Amino acid sequence: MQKKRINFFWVTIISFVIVYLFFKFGTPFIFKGIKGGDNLIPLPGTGLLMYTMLLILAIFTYISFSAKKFEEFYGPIVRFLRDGNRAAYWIVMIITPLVIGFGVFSWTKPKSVSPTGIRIQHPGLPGSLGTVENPLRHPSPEDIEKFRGEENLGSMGEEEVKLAMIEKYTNEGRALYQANCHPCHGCAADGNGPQADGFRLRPVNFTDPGAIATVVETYVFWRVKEGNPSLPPESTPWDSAMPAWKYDYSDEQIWKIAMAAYDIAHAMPRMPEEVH
Amino acid sequence: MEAYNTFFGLDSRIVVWIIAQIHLLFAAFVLAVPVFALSVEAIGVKSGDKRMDDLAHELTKLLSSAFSMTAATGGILGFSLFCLYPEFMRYMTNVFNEGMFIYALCFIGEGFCLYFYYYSWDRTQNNKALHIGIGGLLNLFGVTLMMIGNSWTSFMMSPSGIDQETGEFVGTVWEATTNFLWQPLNIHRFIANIVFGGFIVGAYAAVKFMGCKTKEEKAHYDWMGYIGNFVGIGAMIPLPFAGYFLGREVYSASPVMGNIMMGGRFSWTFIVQAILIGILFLGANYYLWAGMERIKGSERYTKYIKYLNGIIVFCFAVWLTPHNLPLTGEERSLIGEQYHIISKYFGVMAAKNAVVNLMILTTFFSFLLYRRSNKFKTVPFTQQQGSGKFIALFVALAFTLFMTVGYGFSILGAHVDVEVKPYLSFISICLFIQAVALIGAVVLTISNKGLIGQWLLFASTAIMAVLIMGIYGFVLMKNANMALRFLSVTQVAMVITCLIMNAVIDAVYYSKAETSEIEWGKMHYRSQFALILLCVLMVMTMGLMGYVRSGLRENWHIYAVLKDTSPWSFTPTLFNMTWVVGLVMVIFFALTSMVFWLSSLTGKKDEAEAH
Ligand code: HEC
Repeated sequence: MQKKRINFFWVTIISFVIVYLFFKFGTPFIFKGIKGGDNLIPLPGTGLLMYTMLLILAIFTYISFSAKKFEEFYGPIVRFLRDGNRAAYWIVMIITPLVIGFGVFSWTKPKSVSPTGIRIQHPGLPGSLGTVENPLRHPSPEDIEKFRGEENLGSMGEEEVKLAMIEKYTNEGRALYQANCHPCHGCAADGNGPQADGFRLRPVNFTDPGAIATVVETYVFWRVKEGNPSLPPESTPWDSAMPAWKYDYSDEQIWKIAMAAYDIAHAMPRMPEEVH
Repeated sequence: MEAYNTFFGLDSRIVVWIIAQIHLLFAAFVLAVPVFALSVEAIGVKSGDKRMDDLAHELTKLLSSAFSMTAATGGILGFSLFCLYPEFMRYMTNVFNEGMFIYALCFIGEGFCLYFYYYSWDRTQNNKALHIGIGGLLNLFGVTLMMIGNSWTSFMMSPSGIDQETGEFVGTVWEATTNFLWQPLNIHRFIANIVFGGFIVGAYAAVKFMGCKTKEEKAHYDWMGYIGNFVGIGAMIPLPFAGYFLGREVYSASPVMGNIMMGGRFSWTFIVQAILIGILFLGANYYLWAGMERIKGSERYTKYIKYLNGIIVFCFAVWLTPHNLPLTGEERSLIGEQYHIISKYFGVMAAKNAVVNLMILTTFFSFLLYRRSNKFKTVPFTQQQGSGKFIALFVALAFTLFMTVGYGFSILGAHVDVEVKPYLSFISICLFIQAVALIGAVVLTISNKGLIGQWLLFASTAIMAVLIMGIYGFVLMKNANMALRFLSVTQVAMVITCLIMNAVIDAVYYSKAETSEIEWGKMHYRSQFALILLCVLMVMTMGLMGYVRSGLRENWHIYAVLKDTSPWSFTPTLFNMTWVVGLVMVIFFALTSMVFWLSSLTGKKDEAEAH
């Protein structure tokens, strides 16, 4: 037997440990590097668990797909158990259950950590709003004519008048946004308003592609109008500081705010797919 | 009249749920296996390979008892629905009236064809055209049955022919049948059933393989398992796309339903689904890799497997990462924003689409490696005789060019806002580049450099469809959401053209190559467990997605038309779902084992007569 090469069994175990350590202690530096700021950002426990399971799956696949590899991994264990050094044998036999037992103990023993919770950021839109659309984006011909008269737009084409209307509404919404939302959501809608750091559940960054860009405009309307009280339990309303604005503003104003939120974030609402 | 009854005081909804799911699994069985058997038979006739004919026959043998199972569970389902949900069924029968008779007639037709197809096997050996014709009819009935059944469920999700004011049904049966979600559901179910059929056959072969005594039997069942797995993965490749299409249409049918599905209560079911599908892909690849052991010459390629394994598991990890990772309070405050970085990048559609495509490409690559394991010296293209090669290459080229260039132009011509236009031009330019790569690959093949052609295509597809479009997806999510749907179709179009072209090039390149024997039967049992696992996972996935499809209606029998006012109208928790689906799985496999056992009885008789 060649003694020099370390066997496949140990290669596997060592690679596992290295990758695991990387997940646990290496990734926080990468996350910090990406996000900036000065604290390390850990890989959450659930993520660590998930990726470690996958790692084990990958290793298992790799060692077992061929008879040769399987024997290379499995052989040393069998040989060790059958006719390895007796002292080492007993050490392994005693230490292994202890380690596992300790693992189970520390896993299950009561600890003072807050519970792991799933929070659903985008719960279902209440059914009553299912077919509601932003009326300001679909003005009636009379509204258009009225607007044309008010703004002295003369013989401008209908489409252009509509665009002008949307622009005006968005501007009005912008003013309302900067007056009311900016303390939390930030003046650039990036979720970095002056008060933002004060909340554990941060105000949403609207420029994030996973935020308001993934929902229809009606959804934003609902969230702004009803605020945190109407969130279902899976969206932990008790964590949220998002106020309900229906007491202060009319529906029309809220639609304007929604339009402005998208505009400031340079995002577009999700379009409901067309029904053919 | 009561609107709801109970069955010995049990929860009626769970009773119906379990029966419906079991019925559906058997129905999928008798839909898919005939498609499978008929294709195998046809290939056997074309190639003159007797093995194929025997395989088809053996599969059909399973069908007769499976068919009565389907009928029996269907009957029970019908009774339980009529007894437990009389008012709802009254509504449905009023709407679908004639449709239900047509369904029953089709069932008789299917039964007739099935038994004819099975019992006339030996007699029609000399008249294969008749036999295949009947097989075709059998499948036609099967698919029609599925489509009629689908129309009922899809009607419940997206009813049509309803008077918006009164909520009364005013349409015709045909209007109700052709409701909005009908076709998407048909497509998705049909493809998924083929996958299921493949894996059922694989599992059957695996069980037989592990029980057989002789070398010949082992070889036979090993080969059968291989074919089953091949069909299973083959059909699994377009499945994510069909699922995406269905999901999108659910969103269009009702944004509320769409939101519950992807963002709300059901979003976690998709994480569970991701786990299942990831393991399906990994398992199918595992089986291919293990299968390389039966081939002398595969040593040349086994060294690549670690990388393929790595890529697939990486894709799996991304595919699995939820957008809302469960966090503890401490973690949430350390993260300092709504989403963790991994969720932010891996948890969204753009990333998922990219990795799914990469996973499909990698699986295909595994398959090519497997295929070339027993091929050695090739004959250069220019020295091969015959025009068949040219025809194959040019047909493939014409088709793939039509897909890429045609789609490219249709994107350019799409009616969208001006701001979105530039993004679309970028996507179509990628499609045109892919078209150039396709032409390049064909030219290289003709000038005896087929392998380089394949690499070129793999590289261009991986770089554009996975890397560039993966990143571009984030840009679009932010700036031009409208364009995203074009992006995901483009990714799939690229991947599919790559698969088609590379498969054809492979066939041409190796057509006259020296080959070594495949030693069928030389497989370890671990690989057979992988086959069984694939089937189990498929059943779980079907059970899970059944829960999602049905649960999306929340407290409606018929969405927005007929309310479920029973005490069981709540959405069961994920935890409850796992119990019910687990139970369904156990019952289904118990019944399936019975079917397998029953069919083995006739096998024994045949053998006894032969002796
Ligand atoms: C007191 C701070 C605060 C103010 C002021 C505030 N928000 Fe919020 N907002 C939050 C927090 C915290 C969240 C995240 C928790 C949640 O979703 O409820 C949030 C979430 C939202 C969401 C949900 C986004 C998503 O992707 O789910 C929208 C939309 C929103 N805010 C819009 C507004 C608008 C528009 C205004 C101004 C009219 C506003 N908010 C004012 C704190 C605030």
